Amino acid sequence: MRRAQQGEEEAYAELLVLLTAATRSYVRLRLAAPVPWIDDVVQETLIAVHQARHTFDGRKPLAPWFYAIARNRFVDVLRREQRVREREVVHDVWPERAGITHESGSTVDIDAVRLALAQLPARQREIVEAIKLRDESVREIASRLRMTVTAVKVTAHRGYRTLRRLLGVDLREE
Amino acid sequence: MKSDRPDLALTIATLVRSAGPVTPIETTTIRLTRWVVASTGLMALSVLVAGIRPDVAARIVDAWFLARGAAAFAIVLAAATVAFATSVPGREPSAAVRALAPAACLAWGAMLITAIAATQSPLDQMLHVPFHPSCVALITAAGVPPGALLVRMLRRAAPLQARLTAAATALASLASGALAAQFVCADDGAAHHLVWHFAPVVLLTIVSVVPGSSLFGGSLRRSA
Repeated sequence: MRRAQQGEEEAYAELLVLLTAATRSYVRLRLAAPVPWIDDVVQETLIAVHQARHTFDGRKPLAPWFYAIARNRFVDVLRREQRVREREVVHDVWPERAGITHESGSTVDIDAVRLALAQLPARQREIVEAIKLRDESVREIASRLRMTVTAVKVTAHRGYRTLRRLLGVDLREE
Repeated sequence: MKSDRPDLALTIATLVRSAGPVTPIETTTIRLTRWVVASTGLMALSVLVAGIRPDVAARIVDAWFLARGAAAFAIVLAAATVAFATSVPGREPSAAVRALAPAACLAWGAMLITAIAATQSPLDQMLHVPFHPSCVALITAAGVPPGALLVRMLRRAAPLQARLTAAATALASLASGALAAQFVCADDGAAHHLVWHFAPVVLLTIVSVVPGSSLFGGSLRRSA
């Protein structure tokens, strides 16, 4: 982890592979039966580890830090899955998985979109998700986040620009 | 047909590609010390802006004034410690440490109630507390700068327990405001402090937990 913090890509990749296995074991130990969403927990844990990697203290053991994150993400996904099951919705909380159509006609993997979204600053992510995934109007978002309509639009544009850069596609703005 | 489950190889590849070197955050103690020092300056500024009470020189050697100040400062320290500790995964505070801030609150409240009860007419004291909402406004206003700084410092880390972090942050900020208000408000009556200083700190902390948790809830979440 210390090497990963210093930007060593190979060490970081090795660590994430190890943490993938550790997360799977952690989830399996806590569930009576296999579940189809185990990799959702793994993915969310890896993203959370990525976002929180600067909080790891190299003088302390990795396990308590990592399992605190894994437990947090596991509980979050578990609650989400329970909510989905209660509503008898078979789809994931994301409305569709068809991908986003690029101008050239190719599609972008929704996982790549999720990852790119995860890398946006919190406010940009919230606004882009609200507009693109939850179909909220700019006015509704502005009211909810106590921002001006202009500020919401500006933040959304910044988010789109970053997403474009990360994905190499054009997310058409509605 | 694509699978409905995430592609973990792609996830790892994307994360590795986007991972540059990071500077590890400092220890909880260092961050707490920095916040306390900066907040003390902000509180002093708030006091100067609001207008320092004229008898402050005499008051700062008064045991009753010092006891109330110590109680508020203990809450500030205990709550901020919890807030900083919860912002680092795996370093969550023990139940005993978490209990320190509520215990300090109880001690502050108990101290004021005891002082009221020790008077000849406690009921009269409570019934004749002057209407003084400006103290609530002062506590809130003076608590905002330390609170904003605390939120900023915590969001740079990775708080996992949004509500606990929000509660601790609100309590630390409002107790800072109450500490500053003590140097502005010239009413040292225990009943006044119970109604217009202590109660607002507790009530505003409770009220701000849910909205405040939205400041920390998204730090490690991919989606709402």
